[in-house]
Amino acid sequence: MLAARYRVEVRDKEGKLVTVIEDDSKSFTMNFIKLLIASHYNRNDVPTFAVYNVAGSPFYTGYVQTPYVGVPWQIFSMNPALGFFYSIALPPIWLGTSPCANPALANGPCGSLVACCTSRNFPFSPYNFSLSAPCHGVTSCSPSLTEEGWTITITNQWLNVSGSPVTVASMALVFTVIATAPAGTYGTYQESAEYILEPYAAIVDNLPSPVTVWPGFLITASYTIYFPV
Amino acid sequence: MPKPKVGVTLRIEVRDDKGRVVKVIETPSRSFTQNFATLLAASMWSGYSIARWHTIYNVYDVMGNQVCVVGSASPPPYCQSPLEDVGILFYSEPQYIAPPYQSYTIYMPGIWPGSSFCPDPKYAYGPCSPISTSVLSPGLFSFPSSPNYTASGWQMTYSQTWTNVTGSPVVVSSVALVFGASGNPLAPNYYFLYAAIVDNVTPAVVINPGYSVTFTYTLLYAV
Repeated sequence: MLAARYRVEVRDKEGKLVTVIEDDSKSFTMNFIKLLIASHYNRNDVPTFAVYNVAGSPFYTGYVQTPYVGVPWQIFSMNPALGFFYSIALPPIWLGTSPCANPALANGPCGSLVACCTSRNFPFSPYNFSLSAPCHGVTSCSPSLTEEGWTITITNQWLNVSGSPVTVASMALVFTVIATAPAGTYGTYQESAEYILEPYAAIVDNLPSPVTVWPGFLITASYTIYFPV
Repeated sequence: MPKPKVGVTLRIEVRDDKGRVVKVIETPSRSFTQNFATLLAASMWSGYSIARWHTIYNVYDVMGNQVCVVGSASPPPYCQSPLEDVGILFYSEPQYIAPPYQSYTIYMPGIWPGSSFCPDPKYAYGPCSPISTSVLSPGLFSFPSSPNYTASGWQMTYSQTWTNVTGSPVVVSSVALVFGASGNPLAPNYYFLYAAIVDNVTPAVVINPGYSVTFTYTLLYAV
């Protein structure tokens, strides 16, 4: 926690490295800090904070306003549980086409969202993202001890499948929490309550200069989070 | 890769029995523990996935008891305290003392003092030789209540004051930032205590009878 670095690599169709950007991450977001603070409290005392998902829709800590996450559970989740025997997997690094005015206050990558989830509706498709691989292949399952301290590196690869060049100017590390709302809120059938995934950006960064990813090119984005030792 | 310019600072302030500051130490904190980093990594995954990958996360509470995070699979025989997943890492205001700690030296989250140096703080389970609450009496644990955005980043401050209630001087050589962690299938509000950060205090500080010491950890999240 505390410090993070990002690295972005673009490779052409032959796998040749064409761009590398690496820098200190600038912005843990306010949304992350609110969830982090609320997670210190017990259920009778948890403060109500409005937190915004990557689409800009609010959900709330505490139990007063809905949809609520109560005392936030698994705020670093890339794999929210939807019961004992089922969970959802989301690629954790999302990309946007524009820089953000103030990344610390952004809800996600800015401009058009071009890489997210596993849907086919985006210009980038996840590459080497495996549900059966330990920790989805996006990170080592355990922290590593380096000269900088304990580190956890999260890496996503995205392939431009759109047929057009795509510009990437901002990126975000996205975790997902599960919110609860009264039955009927989202139109799905649930007897007592409905549950909804709320992907939120814990870190948002602007790239120093936008990167163009041509059709068939691969972009690899990674965040390394440091815990000083 | 250059070293990031962020971190944690530990401030130690000793006051005499009249409330006058007699000593201040401010130092960079050295050691997030392996237990913290492992719990954080475990908290990224559902119990379903942890079991599917046959992954086991082993961590230790402040008493050195092993807690295994094994997912929804059957725990191995050596594992006395299995968890399916890790849900909460920073629990700071339990409503009751969890049974394993009711007769322990210190029993609630906070910044705990120890009388010995730790050989390697990043692998320590808590402060070394924790000092009993009947020797240093704890005040309330203060933890963040709202986001604090500063020029250096998001600032999170934790603080706790301890008073020497004995007739003899007490030496503090290590401190630890201790939180509760929780996960399935632990009941709501149930937790185990673990040290997220452990630091040696060099030189050790002496707390005379009636004196108090305040430990303050300031964590900065880069912006």
